[in-house]
Amino acid sequence: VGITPTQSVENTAGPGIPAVAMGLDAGLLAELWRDCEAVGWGLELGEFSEILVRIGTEQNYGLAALEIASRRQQAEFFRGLRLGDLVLARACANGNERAWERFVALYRQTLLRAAIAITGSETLGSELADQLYAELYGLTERDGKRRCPLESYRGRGSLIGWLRTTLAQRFVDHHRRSHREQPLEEFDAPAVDPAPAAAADEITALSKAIEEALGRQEAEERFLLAAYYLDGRTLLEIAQVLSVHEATVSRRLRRVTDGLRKQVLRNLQDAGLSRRAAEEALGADPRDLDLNLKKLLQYSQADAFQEKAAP
Amino acid sequence: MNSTSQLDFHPDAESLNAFAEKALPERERGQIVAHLAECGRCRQVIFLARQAAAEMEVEAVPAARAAGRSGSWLSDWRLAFVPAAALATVVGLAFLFQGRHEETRTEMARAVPQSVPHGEASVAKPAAKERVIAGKTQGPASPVPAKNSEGDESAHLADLIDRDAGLSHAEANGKIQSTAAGAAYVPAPAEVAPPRAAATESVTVTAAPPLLQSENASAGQVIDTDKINATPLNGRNWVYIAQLTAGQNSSAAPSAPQPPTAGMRQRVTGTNSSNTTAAYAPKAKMDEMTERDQASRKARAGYAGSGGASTSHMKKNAMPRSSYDAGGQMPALQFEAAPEAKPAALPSGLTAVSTATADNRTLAIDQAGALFLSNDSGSHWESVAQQWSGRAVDVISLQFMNGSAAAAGSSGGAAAAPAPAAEVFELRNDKNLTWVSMDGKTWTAQ
Repeated sequence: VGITPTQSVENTAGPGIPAVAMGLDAGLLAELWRDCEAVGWGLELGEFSEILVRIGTEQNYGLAALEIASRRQQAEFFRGLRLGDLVLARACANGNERAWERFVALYRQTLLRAAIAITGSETLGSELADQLYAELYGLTERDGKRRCPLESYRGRGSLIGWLRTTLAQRFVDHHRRSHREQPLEEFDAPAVDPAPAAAADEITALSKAIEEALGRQEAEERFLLAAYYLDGRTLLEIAQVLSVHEATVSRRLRRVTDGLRKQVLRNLQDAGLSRRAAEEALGADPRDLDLNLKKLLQYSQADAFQEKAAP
Repeated sequence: MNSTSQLDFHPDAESLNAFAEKALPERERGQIVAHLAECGRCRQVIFLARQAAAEMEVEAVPAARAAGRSGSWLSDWRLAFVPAAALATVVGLAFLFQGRHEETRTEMARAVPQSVPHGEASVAKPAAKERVIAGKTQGPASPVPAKNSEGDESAHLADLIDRDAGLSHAEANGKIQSTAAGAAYVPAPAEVAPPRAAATESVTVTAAPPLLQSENASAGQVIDTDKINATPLNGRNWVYIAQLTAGQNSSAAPSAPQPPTAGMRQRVTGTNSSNTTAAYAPKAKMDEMTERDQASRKARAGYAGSGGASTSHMKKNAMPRSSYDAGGQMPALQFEAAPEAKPAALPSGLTAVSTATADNRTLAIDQAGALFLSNDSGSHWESVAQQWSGRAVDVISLQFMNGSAAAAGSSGGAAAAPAPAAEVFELRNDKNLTWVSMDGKTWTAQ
């Protein structure tokens, strides 16, 4: 099986293959077929070209909606993808048995190990992995049609990374669903302090100053603050996600907190406090502040994402 | 500002994974970061996925190493590093041994005159003189023993040594030869060279008194498991139990103590505590022992039978770090919230969350987990390089007070206050793992 440079892709692709007819360059198709090495696990060129056409059409080769991709743009688009992973995923979603054999050989154990690492429990991990595996195999149906989550994989990252992220999503959604309801008795309302009436104005000014200062933070700065202080992530964990060194994260965090402090001081002075009074206001007991920093840091902007959170 | 905290829509697994793998264009990456800043759910997803990837990478590395043995020419050359390293070690040990050997001879030269009475015949003196003369007139001394009366004496001495020390004749002869050659460099022993008995002593005396008193167990006791379990202890360091035992003093370690290991734990339960002290300072060299250490050992030997016990003393000066609570209060924004508790101005500009002081050294951890050291009680600070994983959250100093040692030392005079024997800093990270340091700069995991 395979294609030699002298063979015509149209001829080898078989009847009814729309690859070239849909504007896919024959030379490019041959090159991608060779690089993809899908022949090794039994994919046929016809199915391969169908998958490519569908991928290209779905994403319009990475261009805006009405633009028409040139052959160079098509080539750039496909070369920017993890095409081997993507073709395997699509073939699995199409129900290709040989693709499934390949998928199981490559990812079944990896999926299980990733699930155990994510849940921190062998039992939960096995359960999570099995559940996702069943979904991937297409056991769930919607409107009488088999649904396979692998169809949503678009090849921009690795397939194993996509699997890990999907597992993490399932786990987090399940966890949040099952832990949403907290018993009331765990909420310990703070005692009302009758004393601070005298400093009420100062406290209000401080609350506003902090609110405004946080509102001016850049997205990445807010991400750092939230990940480090709200989620309690370590510098190393944050560094791994941002693909930078942890010393860089540490420096950025320090810069952000320093900048935040200065900004709060400036805001207090703008509100009419002297420098000294502003610094004293910063020393106020945080319990006196009526602020929910989690909400302040996590205000919502216009969303560009389509995936709905699990109910 | 919309203060909605629970978002309805999230980036899909494809986008989050592409973000984590740096496969997104800049514009889309910015959108994801903005979303992650707001959305705790997606942050959790991405951190969990990344954590799983890291764990799987760790698992994959040994397998890859095992599989990747063949191929590169460098891997063949790696084999050559083993004998090279072994050779370097042998050469290093030879130098070390040579240095020690010469020092030993120096010790002999000092010790022998005290034990040898004047007027006794010297057998080494003529040989040494002759060798010096030979060195002056005929070049370097020959390694061949002189075949004269001294040679006969040497053979006789060798027989004595052979009987005395259980050495072979050839070995003993070699030692005599070595000692005689040494006399050419050090005139002192030649002038007061010992008679036969002294020669035997000069072979057996090696250096300072032995590190361990191994004849009996009067200065130690067995610490069994029940006692360990029943003793209230600040955490995990079993060495503190050993130091609570009668006759123990952590100052027996002249150099930086080695951190206890799991293997050492067995030694505590099965051997006397004198051995435990030695295990705590396995690198202590005999020739590095100071007079103070020797005096300390003597003092311990003196008071050990009286049941004197060391006491440990902990100093802790830590502000507990506030944790994020359900109400969303963020500790980092409490920077100056409690000015009365602020211990010092750190170079980072952040507030110290934990400090510890021992002697003139002060350690402080700021809110970002950075560690600073001050040698002048907080006037100047220097940053300490991170040698621990995670975020440092707490530092304490542990000070061991040896009350019994003080009592033993003052048996002939006025009672003295307990003197600190050793101070150790202990650092804890956010995963509750600990590191120890003697100087605050070099940290070792426990």
